[in-house]
Amino acid sequence: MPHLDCLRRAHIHQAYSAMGYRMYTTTEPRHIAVRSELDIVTLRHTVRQFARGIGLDLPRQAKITVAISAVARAFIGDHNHIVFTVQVVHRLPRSALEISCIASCTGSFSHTRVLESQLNIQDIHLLVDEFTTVLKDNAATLTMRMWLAASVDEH
Amino acid sequence: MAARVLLVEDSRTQAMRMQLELRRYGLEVAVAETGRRGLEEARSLLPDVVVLDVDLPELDGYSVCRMLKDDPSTAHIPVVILTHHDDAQNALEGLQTGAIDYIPKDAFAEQNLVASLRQLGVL
Repeated sequence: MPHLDCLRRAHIHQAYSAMGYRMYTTTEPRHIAVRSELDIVTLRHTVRQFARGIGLDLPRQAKITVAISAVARAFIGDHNHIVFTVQVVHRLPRSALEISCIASCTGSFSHTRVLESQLNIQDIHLLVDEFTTVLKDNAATLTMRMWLAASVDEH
Repeated sequence: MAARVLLVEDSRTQAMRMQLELRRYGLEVAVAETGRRGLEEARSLLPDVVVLDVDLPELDGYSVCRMLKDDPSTAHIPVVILTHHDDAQNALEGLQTGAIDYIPKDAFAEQNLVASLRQLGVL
C-alpha cells in the first residue's frame, strides 16, 4: 500500500517539522503493522537486524528492541491500528536509528490513558537516547531514537 | 582451537537445542543447569562467552552475572542473557549487571544469539 506508506511518512515528517526539526531520510524506511504478540516478535527481529546492520553495539541493539516491544505491547491491547516505521534519519546534530509508532485512535480509546497507565515512560527514556510523544487529532506518534556513532554517521 | 561457550540453562530441552545449534558453528559448548553450577563452571573453564538464562535454580541469572563481573578472573568474559522476560525493567536490570547483550527467547533467539556471538568475535 504505497499510498498509505506515504501518508504515514508524511505524518511523521509533519509532526517533527511542527517541533522545529528539519529532517530527511537516506535509508529506505520499513513499515510494520502490529496487531498481535506475533507481530511484536517480527517487529523486534526487524529492528534488531536493522540495528545490527547499521553497526549499533550489542547493548544498544538490546535496548532499542526491548523499548519497541514495550511500546507495542502497551498499545495492542486496546485497538488495532498501529504502524511502526524503522529508518535511519540524518538531521543535525547527529544521525540516528529512528523507530516511530503511529497509533490511530478508535472509539473510546485514550492515548493519554495508555501513556499514563500501560507504558512506563521512565523505562523507555532509560533504554533509548531520545523518546518523544506527539498526540494530535486521532493519532499518537511515539518516536524512539538511538544516535549513531560518528563512523556510521559518515557512512 | 574452537571457542568455548558456557550455556547456563535449567531446561534440558532448550539447552540441548541451543547446544546443537552452537556446535553446528564449531563451538565447544559446556552446559550448567543451575546458577551456582554456572558460576563454578565459569570460574574453572574460563569460557570465551557465557550464555545465561535468568530464571535458574539456586542462584538467578542476574546474581550470577553480577558475581562474574565482580570477580577479576571472570570479569572480562562477555555475558549474553537469554531469557523469556522481554520487558524493559528486566532488560535494564540485566544490562546493569554487566551483561553485554539481552536476547528474548522467541522464534529468532538462536539466530540473534549466533549474530551476537559473531559480533563478539566468538564466531
